[in-house]
Amino acid sequence: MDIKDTIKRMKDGNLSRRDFNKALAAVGLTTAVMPMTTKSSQAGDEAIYYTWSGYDIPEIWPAYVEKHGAAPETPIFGDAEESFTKVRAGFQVDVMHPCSNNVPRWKSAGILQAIDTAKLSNWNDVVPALQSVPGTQFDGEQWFVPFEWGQTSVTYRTDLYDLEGQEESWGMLWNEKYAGRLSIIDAAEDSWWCAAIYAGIDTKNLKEEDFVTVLDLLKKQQDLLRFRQSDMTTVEQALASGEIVAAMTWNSSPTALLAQGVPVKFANVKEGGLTWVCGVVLTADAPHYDKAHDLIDAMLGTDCGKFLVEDYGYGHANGKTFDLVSEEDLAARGLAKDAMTILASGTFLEAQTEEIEQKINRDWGDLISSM
Amino acid sequence: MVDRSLALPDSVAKKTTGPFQWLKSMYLRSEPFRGYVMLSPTLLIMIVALGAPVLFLFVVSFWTQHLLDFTPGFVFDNYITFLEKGNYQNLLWRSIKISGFVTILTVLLAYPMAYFIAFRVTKNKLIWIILITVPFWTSYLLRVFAWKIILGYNGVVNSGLAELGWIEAPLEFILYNPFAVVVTLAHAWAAFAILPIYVSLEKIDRSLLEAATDLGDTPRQRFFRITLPLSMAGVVAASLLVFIPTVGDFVTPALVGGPKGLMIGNLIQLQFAKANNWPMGAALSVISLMAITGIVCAFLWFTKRIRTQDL
Repeated sequence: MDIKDTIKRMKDGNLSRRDFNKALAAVGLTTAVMPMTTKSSQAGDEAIYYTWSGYDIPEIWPAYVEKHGAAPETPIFGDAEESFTKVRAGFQVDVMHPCSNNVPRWKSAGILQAIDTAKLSNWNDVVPALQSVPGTQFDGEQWFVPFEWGQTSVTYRTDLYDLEGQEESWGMLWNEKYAGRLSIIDAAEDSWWCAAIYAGIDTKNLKEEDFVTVLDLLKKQQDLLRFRQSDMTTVEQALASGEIVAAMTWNSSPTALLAQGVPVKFANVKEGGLTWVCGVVLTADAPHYDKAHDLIDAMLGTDCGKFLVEDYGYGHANGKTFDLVSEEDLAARGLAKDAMTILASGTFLEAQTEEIEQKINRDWGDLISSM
Repeated sequence: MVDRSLALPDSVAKKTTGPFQWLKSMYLRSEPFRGYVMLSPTLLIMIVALGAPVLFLFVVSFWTQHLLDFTPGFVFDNYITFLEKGNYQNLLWRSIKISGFVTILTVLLAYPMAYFIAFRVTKNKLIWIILITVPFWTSYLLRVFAWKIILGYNGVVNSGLAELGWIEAPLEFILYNPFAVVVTLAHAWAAFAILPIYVSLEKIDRSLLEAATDLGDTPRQRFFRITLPLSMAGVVAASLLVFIPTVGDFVTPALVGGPKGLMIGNLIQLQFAKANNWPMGAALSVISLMAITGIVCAFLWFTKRIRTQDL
């Protein structure tokens, strides 16, 4: 059926029902088939990097694009635990982005495989102390490659939040004077532990009553919160506008806000911040094994590292990155050349047993529903 | 097609006897069978994509999960947990209340619009109806984000009021609370209320309205005695279309609700994701499913009673 012919017949009101159905079927079939074929060929191509929002940009993997001419696919999650449950439920990805504390649990759940460090050209430049973060090496094999490190602390507006001569503390997020102008991270992984640090409990030996103490503290805080942010853009905008005066954040938010000229400070809390090393793991049935290694290697490159330090304010795993960044820039971001001085200054986020993780996550569920 | 099959040589035609022939005669003879065959694509999708998952959800809700492993069985642990935890019940109750407000607000706002199009618009009705669906041309998520910007601290409402000099500091009570959830949902579901009400208004026989006027009804009496009762079917349909999906909504409360505006959908999502407790999530889903069914049945019974009493 010629298209001009069809149009003419349509104009004359001459199109038979059969012709019309035929055209409709052709359109239907085409639309039904087209996206399927293009999508599947795309999905087959590049490594799939399941990550936090903010790591889904080209600056993270320059060497990968150079080698393969395309960017990896980047589905994003708001909470590492969420990514864990989704992958367990069958979501297929190559590389995931947890922090070191998750690795033993994820490994025993059978969703991971060891990473072949011989395939990583930058591996030997990775700071040795980070290579051997507890819970990431098993039987001489590397199951986790460190990528970024930093801490969780309080970011506050120096012009709107009055310390009144007090020391900077986690208590700033419990200050009733600023009710409705505070926020925390919508993840137990950060918020539960920060409350635990504030409570002053021994985080290495958690006891039954400690969980009650922390949950009570979090419940008390709940009335004072404007929101719990699951993405950092929300809290950065709120801090910039003055809607929020103090918030729980990672290093990246104050770095971004200071670059925009917003008067904020990343507090050096007296109880110590929550310090962590995050990085990448390889899934057990990674569909793009080699490309996944290329992606990991690209992330360890100093070009990525320089961006990570300067724009996001995180430490990078590659020791050579720090030769490219000035001492002042490091100090301004709460970083240092020696990762361990920073990581040891706070409470390090360590791997917990499955029981403890589950208890924390279920307590968090109770907390969310208790308002 | 039919002509061609008739023209087939006998040798080919004979092959189609047997089970095929039997099915064909069955198809021609039995009317219910014909009905099911016509329904079959939809029916199949409904069974595979809706019936089976709901059944699975129901089964899983009686399981338990220890750490990462499911323990299949038939225990009421999850339902007992729900009954023990006042905060879970409160959350369900809050969800129903929010959806109730959304339904009332949406129907109240939709009725005048539908009325206007049905009775006042005479030319280009189709364009008016298309205009109503315009908000639906953008994604649901974008509409929710748009409300976040409108109601935000430096948002359209606040900066507008500040510009007029009506407020000193931005109003904070308009975002991150149940109010914001109600406003956002009422806007997002408006078309689902307008269209059914419009259809029922459109169907009303205009001579009935003339007769009422002839017999001395004032416009107001005419509305309450003729128009409203006759459009009740549309109002009921609109209420159900808005109420049922909004109870389980989780994107809107997650984005504009703040800690105080969360709904049962957020808790269910949490159980399936972070909390790693699928059976509990399944039980919560089943409970809210039953609660909604109960409320809808009560609503239908109530409206039916009112209508029959009137007649």
